Amino acid sequence: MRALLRALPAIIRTVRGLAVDPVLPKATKIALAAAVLYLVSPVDLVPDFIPVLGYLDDLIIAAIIVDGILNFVDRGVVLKYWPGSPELLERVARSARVLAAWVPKRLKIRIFSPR
Amino acid sequence: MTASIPFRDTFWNVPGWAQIALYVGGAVAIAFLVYGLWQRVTLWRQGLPEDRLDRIPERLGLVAAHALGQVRTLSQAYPGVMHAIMFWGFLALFMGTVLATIDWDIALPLFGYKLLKGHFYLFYETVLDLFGLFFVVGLGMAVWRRFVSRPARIEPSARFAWALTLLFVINVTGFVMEACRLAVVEPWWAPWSPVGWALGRAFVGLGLGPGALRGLHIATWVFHAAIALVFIAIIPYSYFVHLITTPLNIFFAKLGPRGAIREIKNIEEAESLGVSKLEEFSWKRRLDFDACVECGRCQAACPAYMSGSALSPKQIIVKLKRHMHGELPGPIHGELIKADELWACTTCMACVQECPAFIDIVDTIVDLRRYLTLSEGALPSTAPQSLQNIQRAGNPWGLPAGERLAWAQGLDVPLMQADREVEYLYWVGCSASYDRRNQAIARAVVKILKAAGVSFGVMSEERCHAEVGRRLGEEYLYQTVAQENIETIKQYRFRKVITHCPHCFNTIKNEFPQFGGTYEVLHHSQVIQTLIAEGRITPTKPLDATIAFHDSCYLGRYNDILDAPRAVAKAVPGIRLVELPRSRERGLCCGGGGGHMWMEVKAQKRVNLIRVEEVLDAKVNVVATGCPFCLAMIDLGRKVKGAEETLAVKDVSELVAESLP
Repeated sequence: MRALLRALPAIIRTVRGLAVDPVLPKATKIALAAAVLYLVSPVDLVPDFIPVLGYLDDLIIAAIIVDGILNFVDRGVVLKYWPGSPELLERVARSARVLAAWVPKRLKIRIFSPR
Repeated sequence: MTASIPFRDTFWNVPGWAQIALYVGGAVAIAFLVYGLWQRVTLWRQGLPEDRLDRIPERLGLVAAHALGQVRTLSQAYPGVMHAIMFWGFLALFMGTVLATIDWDIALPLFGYKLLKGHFYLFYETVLDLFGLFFVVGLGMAVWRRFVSRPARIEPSARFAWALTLLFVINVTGFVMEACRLAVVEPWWAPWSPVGWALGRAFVGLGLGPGALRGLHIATWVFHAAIALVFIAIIPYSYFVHLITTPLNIFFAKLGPRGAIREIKNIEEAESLGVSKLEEFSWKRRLDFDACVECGRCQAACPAYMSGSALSPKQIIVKLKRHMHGELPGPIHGELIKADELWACTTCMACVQECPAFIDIVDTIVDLRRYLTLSEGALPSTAPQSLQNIQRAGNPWGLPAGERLAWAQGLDVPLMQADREVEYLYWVGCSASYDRRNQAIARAVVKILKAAGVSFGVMSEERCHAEVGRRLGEEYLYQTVAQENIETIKQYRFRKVITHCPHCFNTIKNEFPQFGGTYEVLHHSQVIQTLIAEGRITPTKPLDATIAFHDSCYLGRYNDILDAPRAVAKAVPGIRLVELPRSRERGLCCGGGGGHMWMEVKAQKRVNLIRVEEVLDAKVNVVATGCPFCLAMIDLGRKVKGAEETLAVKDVSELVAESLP
């Protein structure tokens, strides 16, 4: 969790870099755009005006995207944009996987690493 | 206010429409539940018949101990406590809900009696509050284990995340409702619900007024009721089905000796031999598959899995479960389950010993092997030769039957005679008859029996009973030679059978009765223990050694003989007995059971080497065994490990024989 917060700048930079990389499949890009929209919008599953709880759903959505990108997109591509150390990447990836445990693996594969 | 009697304020702040919705929703949820369960029962009943309705009191006892009492589950600390507090928490909350329903819908309207009031209500509130808290702690432990520490035996997949989340949300919303009610009504007995009361104080502290609390209460109430009903409705269609299937499977568990494999009746006329299709499993095996909670205890205990072979007992059951529900295509053999997986099993029963749902994994594996062996003739490696040797020469080596008594030369061993009754028929078994090293065991046993002045005899007509064939699925050979042996034994008069081989012990004691051969059978360690206790022999020569007893699966786990061999070893002066980390009913297999003495199976690291490493770590001079196959496997292991000089391996009878004057 703390690793996730400390690595936030690195995560954002990686996601931004990957978003324009032609390697990324279209499904991933749509998911990315949808997630950004969800995070920005104050109207969502748990509305953002509720303190603490309001951001819980946003956190999980973010974790799902981070998990999908770090654990299901080809590691080599991710490392190309990752500014931090590989160990940090590993820790972030592990935390994101725990927070995104609700999403079935099959779905993640479909969105983030279709063949 | 202070003088009033405490009572349960059912449907406080809940409008009439919501109350009606709850009853309607409840009926719908129960309809889903009943329909789903009925579908499951129909699926099981498509299996072949099997009688599991005998000994009802014993079965109820098992359910009380292992389902309600969680005894088997608690045999492993972390997952045990985790599951038990969740289960007991769930049970308490469920009973609490049932009581509330009885109170409101039966006692009050029909008898005008309020059940939940006064001291009983206060007790009810406190107990439920605390169990609710335990439940949350258990859920936290489960999340940590499944998704953070992630041991290899469990799967950290989404369906478990949803299952745990659903339970968590039901629990927490329950507390929120209670907290709102207590914070608004402020009855004097509120602190009797410690968690709800504390949470209510916190809400007030956050500045929520009565209006806001009432609003939060009804919103949470509707949500809580909805997901609680969803929970009830999805029980038969989700992981929660184990709430029903697991206790049911414990009730229908295999009673009687674990080591008795069911015979194929009328084998000459049977149309299909063994199991190759789902339809050939009994209803009980189908229930087995549905009772599996995928906890992976079987896999973690499995020596074949440890050795890096193809087998995971968990995967066998999970694959069959998914096949039964149409999620994985067949055919079972070759496609769903590879032959390598089946042959890798050493039939050690560690999986069955650990299984909290009492699933008969080994029996299922043997049923599947039977098909490969009997219908396809697909025995692996060198197993076919060994079985042919048993058929042809009466022993797996194929050595001449006339040499069976070579071990006894110069010992003046009495032969069984039709006109002379003896106390013991000594069943020597093939290993000690033909294997050079193991002949010493038979000689030690004879020395002890003679020293004690026991009357006994051996049979020159003794032949291999092909127990190994039975484990390999060669039921036809087994039935033939077992019956021949029973016929031979019939000629003689004796009171008990004694054998030093747990494999012989198990089959003669537990399986020969299937063919009319019922005897009192004793392992040599039991007889020696009695002889020492009665003072008929006294080990006197000290042996200065630290020893560990390696439990044979067929002796310990199969037949619960754990103390006799230890007592025998300890009776020898100078011996210090230490326990290996995996011992007694959790002893690790030597890797020689289930036919593995007679064939090679692909593995990364042999089981006997894993075991010898454990023994070497325990820093002992001698491994004591009570099984000739264990002895052979460990003997081989210590040679591979280059520990011949530092580590000896001996049968317990050899230790006693050496110590006799």
